[in-house]
This record gives sequence, C-alpha cells and structure tokens, in this order.
Amino acid sequence: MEIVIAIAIFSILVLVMAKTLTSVTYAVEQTGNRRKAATLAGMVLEQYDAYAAGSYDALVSYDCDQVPPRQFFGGDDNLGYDGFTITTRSECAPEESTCQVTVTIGSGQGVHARTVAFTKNYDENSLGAKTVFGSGL
Amino acid sequence: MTRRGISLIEVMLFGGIGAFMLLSLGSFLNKPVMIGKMIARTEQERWAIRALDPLVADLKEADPSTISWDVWASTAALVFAKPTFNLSSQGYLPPTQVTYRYDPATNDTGSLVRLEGGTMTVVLNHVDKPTSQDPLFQKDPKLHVIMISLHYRTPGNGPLRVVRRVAIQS
Repeated sequence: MEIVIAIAIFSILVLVMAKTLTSVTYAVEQTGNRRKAATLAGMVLEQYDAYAAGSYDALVSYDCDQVPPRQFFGGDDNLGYDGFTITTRSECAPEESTCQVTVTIGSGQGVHARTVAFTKNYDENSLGAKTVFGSGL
Repeated sequence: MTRRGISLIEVMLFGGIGAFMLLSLGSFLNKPVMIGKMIARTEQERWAIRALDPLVADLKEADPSTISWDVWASTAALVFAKPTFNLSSQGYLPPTQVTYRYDPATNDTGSLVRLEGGTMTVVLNHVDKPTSQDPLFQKDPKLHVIMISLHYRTPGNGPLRVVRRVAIQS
C-alpha cells in the first residue's frame, strides 16, 4: 500500500515537471519566433520605405494577405523565415498626405498559430513642409 | 504471526508502473538540453543581427550616388562614400570611403570586415564563404534596396542564416 502511495506521489511530481518543461519549451520557442517576427517586420517596413520613396500614393497597391517572405520579397527562398507569413495593410489619407502601414507577421499553425503586428506612419511632408497643429504642450 | 516482505503482486505493480513512468519520462529527459540549445540559438541570432547594425547605419548615412547598382559577384565588396558632419566647424567634411567585404580565413569560413581610412574592423566572425547562388550583398536596382545575406556558424553549432534588407533613400 505504501509503495502505491509513493508511486502516486512520484507520478504527480513527474507529471508536474513534464508539464512545466513543455510550457517552458513553448515559451522559449515563442520568444524566438517573436524576435524573428520583429526582424522580418523590420525588413518588410524597409521595403515599404523603398515603395514610399518611389510612389507614395501607391502604397495601398502593395497590400498582401498571408504571403510567404519568398513571395513578398520576390526571392528564391524564405530568407530563413520558413513558416512565417506576411500580411500588410496601408491606410492612406490623401488630404493629409499620410499613410499608416500595418505589418502582421504570422507563425505557427492551428492552435499554435500566432500573429504579431507592427505599425509605421509615413508622412509625405515629414521634413517640415506641413503645418501640424499640436496639443498645446 | 504477521506477514513480512513484499508480495509478488506488489512487485509486479511497482515494476509495471515504474516501467510506464520511465517510458513516459523518456521524451522529457532531453527537454532541458533542448531548451538550452533553443535559448543559445535565439541569442546567437539576435547577436548576429545586432552585429550588422553598424553596416545598416553606414548604409543609411551613405551618399546614394556613390553606391554602384551594377551586378555584383558573390564575394564583391560593398563600397560607398559617407559624409561626416563636423560639429565644431558646423559643416560637412570631405566624404570618407567605407568598404564592407568578406575576408576569408580558411577555405570555408571567414569574416565580414569594415574598412574606413585604412582601418579594418571585424564586423562578424565565423561567416561562411559566400557563393554565387547566395552572395553576401544583393541589390534591387529598381527599388534601391540592398540585402545582406550571410551564413553564420559558431563552433559547435549549426549554421544560422542572417538577413538584413536596407532601403537606400535617394
């Protein structure tokens, strides 16, 4: 009887440890994925810098939905970002000459699917040509 | 008279449950090692990306007209001029030439180095030799985007792909 109780307690401890290790592994993996997503989003926004320099008004035309890095950058491979997807949305206000670009990086599948969003604002008159009404501060 | 010792049923029960537990534990025994490797790889990747920050900063400050958009070979150097602002004279000094290139140490690996005014600085060690299929620097002459792509390999670890893309404002 004592042995059975000892085994039961040992089993519970092992299960708790196993669950903890699984959770830590998942957390470490997610941290790595978030860092990779941030780096990938930085490259996507660099691409949008180039688009904005060329044709500011056409930023909306570069919107895409869950495309792999290979397709977005027009390369031969995913640049080391296999399993990641890129979604971009541009919201432009022509009268203000401003655009807000939101980049959403997706990773994982099914219940492990995660997305991280990054936003950058573009202002065509950002070099001081535009009068901006401040808050009064 | 009392019965002493362990019965056969108890031995079988203990053995069965013990074997089941060991089998279940098997997949978790390597978890701590796996977690350690994952953390090390994530840190390596982060470190390698940060090591390229000076290159990205130099490209952001570069004079766009000095960047050649011709086709580059796999190990061709990236050469451009960078203006420097002198705070004391409140004016720009003559631009200095900055060069980034692959410096081979062995047949397979080498370093990414930076040269400015005769001074060479190692940006990143343990870089695999670039190939024609995967050159160190690639350019998009239409969008004026430069891509830095390298395979970084520290001793005892597998290769790590590090990519940075920089839009050059003209």
